[in-house]
Amino acid sequence: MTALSAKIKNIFKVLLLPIVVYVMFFILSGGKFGKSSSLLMNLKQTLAPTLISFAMCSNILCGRMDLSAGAVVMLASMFGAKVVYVYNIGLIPFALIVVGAGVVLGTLSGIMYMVLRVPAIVTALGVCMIYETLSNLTSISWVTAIKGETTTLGRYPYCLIIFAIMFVLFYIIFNYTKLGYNIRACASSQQIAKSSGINTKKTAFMCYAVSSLFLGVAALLRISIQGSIDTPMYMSSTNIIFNCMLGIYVGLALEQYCNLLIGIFIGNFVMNMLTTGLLSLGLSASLQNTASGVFLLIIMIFTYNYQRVMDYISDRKERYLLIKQKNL
Amino acid sequence: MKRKIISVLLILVMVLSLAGCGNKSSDKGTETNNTSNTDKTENTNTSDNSSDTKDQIWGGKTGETSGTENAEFTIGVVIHTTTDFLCSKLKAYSDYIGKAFNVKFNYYIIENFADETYLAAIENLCAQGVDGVITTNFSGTAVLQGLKICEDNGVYLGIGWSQVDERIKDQVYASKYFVGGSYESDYKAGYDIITSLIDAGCTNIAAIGYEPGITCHDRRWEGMMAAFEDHPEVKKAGEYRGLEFTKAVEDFLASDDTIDGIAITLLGIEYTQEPIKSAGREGQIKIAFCDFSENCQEGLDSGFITSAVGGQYVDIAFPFIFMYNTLLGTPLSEEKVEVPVNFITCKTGEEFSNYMKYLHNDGVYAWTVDELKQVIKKYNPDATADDLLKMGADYSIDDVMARHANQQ
Repeated sequence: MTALSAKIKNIFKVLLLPIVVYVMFFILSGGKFGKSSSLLMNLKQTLAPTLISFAMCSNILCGRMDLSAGAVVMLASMFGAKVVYVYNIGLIPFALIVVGAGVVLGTLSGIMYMVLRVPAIVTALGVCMIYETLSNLTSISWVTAIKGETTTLGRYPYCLIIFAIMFVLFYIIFNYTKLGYNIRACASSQQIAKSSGINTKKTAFMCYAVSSLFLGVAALLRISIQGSIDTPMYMSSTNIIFNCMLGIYVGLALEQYCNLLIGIFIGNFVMNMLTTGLLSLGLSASLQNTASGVFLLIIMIFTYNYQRVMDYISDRKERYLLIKQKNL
Repeated sequence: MKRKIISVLLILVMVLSLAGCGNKSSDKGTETNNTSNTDKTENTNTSDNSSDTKDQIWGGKTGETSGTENAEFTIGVVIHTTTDFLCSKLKAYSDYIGKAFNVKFNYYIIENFADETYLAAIENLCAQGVDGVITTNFSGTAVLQGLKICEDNGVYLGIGWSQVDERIKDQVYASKYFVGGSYESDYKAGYDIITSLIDAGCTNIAAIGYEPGITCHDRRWEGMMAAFEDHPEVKKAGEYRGLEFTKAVEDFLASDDTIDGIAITLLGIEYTQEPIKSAGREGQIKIAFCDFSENCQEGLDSGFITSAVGGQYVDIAFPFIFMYNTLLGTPLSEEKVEVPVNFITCKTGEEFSNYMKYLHNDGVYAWTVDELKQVIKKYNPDATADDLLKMGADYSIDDVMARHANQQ
């Protein structure tokens, strides 16, 4: 019973953040935000970023900031779209090409990190610039679109099925494989992990290699759902991953109440609700960015200080009870 | 020992690359070496692909130069891409012009629209020994700095797709190295795309714009907002400025099922088709946007697109004409001129079809070489800047058809 009530409490704590965000925008928008169609749209928009967050989280946990993830996704999508445009290929070859390109590009990124032996963020920035340039060269136009059969995987229920498969796959890898254990050991302390016999270099490479598969599938989902891919400019591929990183941090904050993967999903869902909610408020474009920053801060403060607030409240409660008892 | 050898090799590579770069030639017409690593030099593609389209798409044999190889004059062009619908035609037009007038165009592809990027591009092109530089979308007070770089190198500067800022106009015009420029009325374009949606019966319109910072998009946005103000009977469903257009369309459609129009400052079909389909609202929403793409025909035929505004590839011609006249020692006018050029507006499939047939398809251009010669003093001593102003004011599909229909 105690275990069950603790579980229910944890579920409540995990769902509290999205519920609060939902209710807040529902009220502020006068009911405009929060329709079922809107939530279904948010769910679809969350799928690809969540996979990108999964791809990045093992590196981030181990202290490696892989800023090239967005560029991998863009280049893989761009490559697939271009092949469709030039050779008019079908759905299956398109899917295989995009995922395959993502795997190759992500693995190359890992190889460069291993060979160059410079901090991961430096490699990531260099790789990001190279991949963005390649995307520019590969692009047909300012935006490259696909349509017809090739967008099938972006519709319900195919996108959900693909996401579910990848979710389960990452769950198994992260929680039940040797690689997962090694990642978590390196996340706690690289030195101790190394001393205990873990090959940290191999683990780092495997992080990139496994991530590349998720980036490839994220690229496939992203272009299938959106139907188009923009030519990256001005390091715009990093825009893709910043929200995904926020999703990871929300996931880490919620990890004490739920599995990290579920927390990451919730984090990305909340980020998407935030942007949709701000649009539904009818704010001017300039105010949207300000409001977005403010809300993000509030969400992060709430997420990271929720336990402190709850501890403070329970402390005050205990003190009040003690004082009451003394007086009695 | 190994590290020392590698270090020495790296130093040698750096020194040699510095020595190879920056051959500044002060003689006009001298062939220069394109050794800069930042400039994309010609690609040699040994692909067996026989299709010209595929070669062009994969960047096989086109490279980043156009015109005549061993030319009398070399002009640098600063632009963000040469592969999209608009800029590939601009480059093709420069190739056509360059071959006719013995000019080589060196394209410098910029990765963003930041002032520093433009200034670096101008410096690089000047270091390559170009005779002139034509910039696109270069605006704001940084134009003065760019002009200073050109002055220091004895290189002329022309501006396309942008108007010189009022605050610095006098200083820019006073420089003998500024030759002139051309610009479109982006404000009017933004205004017109909203009014076209209103005329098509839309009453609840979402406004989507590129993120702030690029003058042409900022002006289009201002035009769009002005149109909303002038039409209070029409509801603005919401506004978004940023980079995630598709997501914005998805969010608008999810939050408001009465939206019947979407206006975008940059392209349209590519960002809206899939979200509209996903929302199950095909046929219920119309769009209008700036900048043509290859996907416009279908949308205009079906009425999905109420208005598409574009055709501004011709902007390369105007600063080129000013510059070429100046390089030949016969400037078109004493006073500096910036030519306002019409946009092409297509509201029907037939109009876009005519645009493609007479202005955009391979081998057709708004003005032929013979027509351009009329505004070059070497060929027409009576040519004046007023002729160019008239060209810009007359530019339209009908104008081109009237001049070229017999040749088709």
